[in-house]
Amino acid sequence: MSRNMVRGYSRRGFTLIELLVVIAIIAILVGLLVPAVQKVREAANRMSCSNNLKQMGLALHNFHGSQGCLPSGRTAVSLSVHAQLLPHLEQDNIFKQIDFTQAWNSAANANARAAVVKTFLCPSDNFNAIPAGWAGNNYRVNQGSGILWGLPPSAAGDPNMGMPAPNGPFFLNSKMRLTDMTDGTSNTAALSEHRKGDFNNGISSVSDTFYLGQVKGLYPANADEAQTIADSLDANNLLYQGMSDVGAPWIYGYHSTTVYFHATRPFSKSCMYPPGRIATTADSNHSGGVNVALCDGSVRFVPQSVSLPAWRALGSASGGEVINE
Amino acid sequence: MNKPSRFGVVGLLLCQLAGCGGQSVMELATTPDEAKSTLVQALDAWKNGTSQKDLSEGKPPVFLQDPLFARGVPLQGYTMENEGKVVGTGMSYIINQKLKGDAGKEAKARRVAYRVVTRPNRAVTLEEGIP
Repeated sequence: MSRNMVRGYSRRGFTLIELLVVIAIIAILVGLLVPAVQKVREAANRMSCSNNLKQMGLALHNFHGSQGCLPSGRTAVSLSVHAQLLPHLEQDNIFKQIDFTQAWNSAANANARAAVVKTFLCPSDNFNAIPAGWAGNNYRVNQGSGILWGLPPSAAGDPNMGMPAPNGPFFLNSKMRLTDMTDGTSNTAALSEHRKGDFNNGISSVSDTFYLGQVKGLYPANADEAQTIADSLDANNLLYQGMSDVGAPWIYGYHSTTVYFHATRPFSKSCMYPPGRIATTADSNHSGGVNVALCDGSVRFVPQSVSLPAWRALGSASGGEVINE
Repeated sequence: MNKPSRFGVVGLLLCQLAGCGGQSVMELATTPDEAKSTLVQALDAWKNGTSQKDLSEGKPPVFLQDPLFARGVPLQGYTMENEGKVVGTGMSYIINQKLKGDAGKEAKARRVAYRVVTRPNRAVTLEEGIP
């Protein structure tokens, strides 16, 4: 067979250069496409999160319609607003499994404690691993712009004597009516969001609640001091990692699971200052802000850059402040 | 035992990549033995007058988070009330403590719960509102 005949039958393939060029073009196209897809996906997640808050806001209004007041921020045995809202979120079967005379961690409430409610989960929070027997939550009710966790004490000598009472719509045994909100329901936050923690005090995560105790200089007298401490705190110091069970279980009415404060700016480090002073706040995985459901049932996206006075005004139900943003 | 089908595995992987994985269960961040020995190590160190800073810089470092320990209140003695139970990713122990009282006053008794994890770091944390 002559050399020319062989050449005539051979199939011409791609050269290495051609292949590399094609691969490079595909890589560039993928590089352009992936961020765009991620952006669209996050926009969809943010909308889904906003819808969850809308559902919970409507459930609050339905609860108010049937009971004549909003649910209490937490019951005497620390059961959450979320537990009280279940019948208004089409979760009656879980609601029936809750014994409201028993604490969140009692054996009687084990089934409800582990029941996943999709409406309580923000799709942008991709931390989905939860300790066994618990179910997660990203949404919290607003206790106000103060830092007192309980009610004002009456016993002389209590370190929290003289601290102002919670001024938000949800606190211990609260039963606020919409007409009690003299700031107006459209100027008062009902719910916002927070990322779940890492459930391990041996790991530093900014989404955890930092435990500061009565260490010198780290016991705030008011919300301004709480903001200063939160801003200067070293989040990597494991000595401050005291509450990593953040965002679960939803049945627990607690400052790191179902309640937040408007004392410090959104995305500040959430802190607890025992005895009795707390400044957990709102944060999210959404770019640049958090979703907030107002007491009128609407949902707004509040930017991270919101001014502290406006954020605090949004937290109080009857503070008389004017919100200009 | 049936092998998982190739399509099932690929489907699960795609589902995870698409972000529809749902809630999964976390593993414990300790074992009962590790947790108990870490708790004993931390409380013994407190009893022997070790400071919070020194304990956290020891080998291995132990992070004991208790406001009274942080403030240097001396621990005179303690007893473990139970053998611990799993709470979250750690073990929770109820401890009866005897703390030194103020000058001229009797020792103060305290009943508290500590949560212990040992991985990746050893942390002993006072549990709020429990027991």
